[in-house]
Amino acid sequence: MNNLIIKRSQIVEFKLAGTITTGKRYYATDIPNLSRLNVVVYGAELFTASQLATTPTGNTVVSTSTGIVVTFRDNFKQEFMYQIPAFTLIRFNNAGLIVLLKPRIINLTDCYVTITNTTSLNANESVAMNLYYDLIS
Amino acid sequence: MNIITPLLQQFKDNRWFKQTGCIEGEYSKTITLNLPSTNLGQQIYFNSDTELDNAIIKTIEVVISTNQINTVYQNSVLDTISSGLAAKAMLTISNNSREVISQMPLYTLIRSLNQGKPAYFCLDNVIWQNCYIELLDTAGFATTNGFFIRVTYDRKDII
Repeated sequence: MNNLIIKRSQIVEFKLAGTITTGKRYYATDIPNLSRLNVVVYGAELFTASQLATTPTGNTVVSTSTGIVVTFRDNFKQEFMYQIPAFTLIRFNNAGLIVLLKPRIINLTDCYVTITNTTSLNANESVAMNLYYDLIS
Repeated sequence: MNIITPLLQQFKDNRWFKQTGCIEGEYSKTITLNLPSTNLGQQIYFNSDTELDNAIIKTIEVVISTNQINTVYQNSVLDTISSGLAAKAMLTISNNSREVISQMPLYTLIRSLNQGKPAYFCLDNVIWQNCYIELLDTAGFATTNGFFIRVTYDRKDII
């Protein structure tokens, strides 16, 4: 069984701004570190409040993952990972294994989470995720 | 015969994954960080460590109170943090120019909560005194707490 090696990582946030509605998309906040074209993302890990209570920007992290799905888009706007259950991306739920992705340049601000159930989610909380990436020449 | 797909080969060539259960690092070191105070957003920096500055860091583990009750810092016995407190702090790893290389919630570095699997790293340009733990929520922390960190590494001259 292989597990991911962390070369570089960056916390990203999907802030649930305003009234939370089923089916609504919430996009990732821009992170300059990941906006460069020489960055490939090859792994992802999601956190709920059990793993990370508050983000570095001071937002409360969602307490549940079961009403959230995550979609990643690459720099060609292709939804290469469409609606992964947030629960699946939590390391603790996968016996300590981090989810590996086919390495891609992503367009972070095009990536989004979709709410499938609003139970226990509150306005202005954040879905927090660590993206594991490397620099390519 | 092992058949390796191009994708797996790419992961292997770039050192993006490795087998769980393999050798973690040639050397292992325990580092304790005390809390001089418990202020929100406080960044507690590590002491300078020439050994780690000249190393390739392979794993980082946070030890919690259910695994080791106490830790010692400069002859003071401190209470190791619980998993609940680990969710309220973040480790930031930086290089010589203070560029942030990695941000890791402490909770995800707890080995015992991930069925014994360590968090693997491959970091060869870390300056340890530029790394810090940040308190993102102070509830429950006390100055009697200590962060018990275990790092495994290879010396750069070995590779």
